Amino acid sequence: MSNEKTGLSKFWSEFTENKIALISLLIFLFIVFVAIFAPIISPTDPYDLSKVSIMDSRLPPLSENFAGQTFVLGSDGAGRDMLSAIFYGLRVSLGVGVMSGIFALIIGTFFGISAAFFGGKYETFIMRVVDIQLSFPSILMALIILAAFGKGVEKTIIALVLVQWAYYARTARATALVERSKEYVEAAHCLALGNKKIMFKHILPNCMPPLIVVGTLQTAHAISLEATLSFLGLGLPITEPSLGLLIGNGFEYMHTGDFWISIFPGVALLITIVSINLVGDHLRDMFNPRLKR
Amino acid sequence: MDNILKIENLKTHFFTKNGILKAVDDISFNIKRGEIVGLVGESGSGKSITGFSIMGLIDAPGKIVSGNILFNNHPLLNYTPDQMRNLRGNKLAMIFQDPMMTLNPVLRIDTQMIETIKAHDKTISVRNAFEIARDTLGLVGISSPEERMKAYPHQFSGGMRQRVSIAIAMLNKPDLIIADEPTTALDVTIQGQVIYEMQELCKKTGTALLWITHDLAVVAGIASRICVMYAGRIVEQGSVKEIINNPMHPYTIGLIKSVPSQNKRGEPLHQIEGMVPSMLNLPDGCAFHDRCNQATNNCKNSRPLETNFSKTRVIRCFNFER
Amino acid sequence: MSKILEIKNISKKFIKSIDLSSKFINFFGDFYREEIIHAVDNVSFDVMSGEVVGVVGESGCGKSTLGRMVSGILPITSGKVDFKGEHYCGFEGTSYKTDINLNLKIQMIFQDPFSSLNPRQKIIDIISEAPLHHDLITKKNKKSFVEDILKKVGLGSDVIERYPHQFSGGQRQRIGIARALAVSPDLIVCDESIAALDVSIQAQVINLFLKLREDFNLTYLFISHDIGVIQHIADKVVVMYLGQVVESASVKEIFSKPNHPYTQALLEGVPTLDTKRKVYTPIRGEIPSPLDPPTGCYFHPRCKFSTKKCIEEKPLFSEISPGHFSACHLNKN
Repeated sequence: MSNEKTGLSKFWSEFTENKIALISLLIFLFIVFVAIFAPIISPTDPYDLSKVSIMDSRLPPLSENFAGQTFVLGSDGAGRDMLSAIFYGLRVSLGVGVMSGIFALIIGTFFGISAAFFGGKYETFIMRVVDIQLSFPSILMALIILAAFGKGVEKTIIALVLVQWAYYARTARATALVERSKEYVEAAHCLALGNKKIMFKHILPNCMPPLIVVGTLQTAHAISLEATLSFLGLGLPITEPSLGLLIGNGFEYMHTGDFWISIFPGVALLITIVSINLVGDHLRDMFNPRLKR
Repeated sequence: MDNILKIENLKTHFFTKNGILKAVDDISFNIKRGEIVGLVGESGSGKSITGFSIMGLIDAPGKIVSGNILFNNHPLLNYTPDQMRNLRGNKLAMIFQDPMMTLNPVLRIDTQMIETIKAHDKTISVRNAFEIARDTLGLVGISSPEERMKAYPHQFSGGMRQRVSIAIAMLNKPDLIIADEPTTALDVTIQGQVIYEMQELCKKTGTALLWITHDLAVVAGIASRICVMYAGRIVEQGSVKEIINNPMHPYTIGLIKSVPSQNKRGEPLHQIEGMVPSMLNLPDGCAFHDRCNQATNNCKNSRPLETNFSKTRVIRCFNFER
Repeated sequence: MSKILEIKNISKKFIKSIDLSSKFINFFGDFYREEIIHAVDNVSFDVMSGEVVGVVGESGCGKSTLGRMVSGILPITSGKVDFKGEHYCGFEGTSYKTDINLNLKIQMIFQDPFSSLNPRQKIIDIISEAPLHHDLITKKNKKSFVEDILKKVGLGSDVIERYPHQFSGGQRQRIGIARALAVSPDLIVCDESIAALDVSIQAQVINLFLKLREDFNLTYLFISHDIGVIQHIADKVVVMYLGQVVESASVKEIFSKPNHPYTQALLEGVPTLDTKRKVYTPIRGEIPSPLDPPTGCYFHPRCKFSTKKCIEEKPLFSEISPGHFSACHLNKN
């Protein structure tokens, strides 16, 4: 029996070998922290109308408002502190992105694994639906769905799930096909364990690695997609401003030189997406057996 | 006859984050011109790494730590990568267990073979190269080679692909071919054919052959000498007759005894107890001592040196049966 | 001795049907054809209780497919399999399912020790999952049950909380054997179960098989390409070629008086520890593709003795001496 590290600790030490991925993970965890604790750590509450004054609007970064507070990143057109707005915006962006990712993962994995397991006409049908869906540009699909549904947080999440589930289904089916032909699944058949158990206790856990990779990268994609929709004024209502909305709102001020209203939320969005992508990339390399030395 | 290959005290270690893996740990043997030598060992014995070390195909985290490899009296370990590249596929060739390690799936066979010839002879014409390739394919037993050369690897069966790999190895008339488990993945009847053909080929061209395998029976019929490896060390070497009819090292004895044909039907097979040790945690003394029924305290603490029992026989054991 | 397994004329066809686009192209001419592979073609033999039946053959002979049909993993296309007199296997495309209780009585041990165990399951769960699922044991006695079985296959109880990747090939095969034993089978199909193991470990596992056969009164269907092992442990040998049985006889008969030319060539071609410089007289030709088998006797293109009849007519599988069956036209004389 080997003395090598097992399970989680082995995974962790392998992961941390790549410093960039480690830094990205730390940045992402910091962003998650900010998102969760936004109401507590924000300097101000940008959506408390009693505290916001139009007199403070469009102040450049590091300037003070009438009350003496320093707006580290400046203020927007309505007088809200940019830093606080970004914290709250991260909350919404991340929340919508992750929620839609999780639901898409569950639905996509279910269809992908069952398609691989049962085969036949069922599989063909599901996979054709997936193919058709994946041939549409995701933005176009989201726009059409939201145009039909209207605005709202739940509706946005549903639209994002409908756009994304196909990626998960395709990946899940591909790995499930590989696992299904492995001998331990044959052994499970031999032991008469029943289809449900075989699918969910045997095949599913072994399909997780690539699904986690897709999950990470897709979450980044979902966040960016939601930002695009909000920038265009669709999807989320103004009461739940995401980073996309902030960027959109600040856009009109760009040509007057008040860049910070649009750029800073943009940078925050960029850092979020890039950090998730770098973590996802490294995870994918880790799970690729051919790259192992 | 002089030696085409002389290996002296070769050590190839892998420096992994889990420790130093001593894949090859002080081995020495020679191959004469035109001779067929069998290198026999189980998985983890280091036999394949020996082959790769000779070819200069050891990459990080592996490194040839010490020793000498003399090919045609040239010290290979002093060669630059360019010099090694000139040698490989030319005078020194290798055949792998999986022919798809040699063959490019997207190129036709004739393209690959002509490429190999032209890589080592820049002046030759395509037509001449084609003819050499075609003749070599005929030599390995492929009928109608001119037509079959136009095919892609996937259009051949496993046995044919292996024959093509052998042909590619023979293209530039090598002095030594290293064959790493060349017939292990083939069916019994095809294996028989390939062994036969390689034997004939080597006789005809005077090419020396290092046949690396885990199957003693395969080399019993074809080799003139056998080296038995265990956990990175050669525990015994000698002529085929000596090794098989009169094995002396407890491991070799155990291996031969455990072959079903050497046991009485219905009786339990003779078995070697225990398992091959982890290469990261080799014991201090003899690597075989915890599985050996002749082991003494000495075996546990110190490594046996090689004893030249006779002119042809070398054995690494404190307690071998005389 | 009673018959424990009766295999009667079973066949397995794999059909790759032509899809819509190819059907369309076929309007313009016969370009695409349905590809049918007769992986197993009309195979019949019996297994007596307590016997070890060795099934030998090379790639494409269908022995692995046969093993999977017998153990209930693959449905059969046609024919019948009776286990202890009861109809056993399920057919493809029908609602007839294999009786679970019978299914558990026939278990399989696989070839690849690395993919035959679920890498995400602990050893204790790998072994106890099926007995728990079928209410053969309770959660309470799970641990002692598993430890007991592990002892029987030569493993200590310290392995139960570990994962497969922490073990060597030989140990994993033992775990696979323990998993099969956990449901108290009567017949075990070994599909090349030692092929992937080191030579020094093979002997250990073979000895374990023989010991378990005595301890548990097991019957084995031992599928292997290793003639030497078959000669040592099998009581009866079935030789397969391209999906068909070409010869079957007791082990003594097969090795002393092989009848079918393929059997003869197979036995001759096996490398042995004979140091006399072996002159191989290999049989010519390659194993044909199962998609396009030869006419008449499948072996005729490679057979030294083939006649005109061999090219045209399929030989019958007939008894040439008591208990010795062979499918060769040359026997008719």
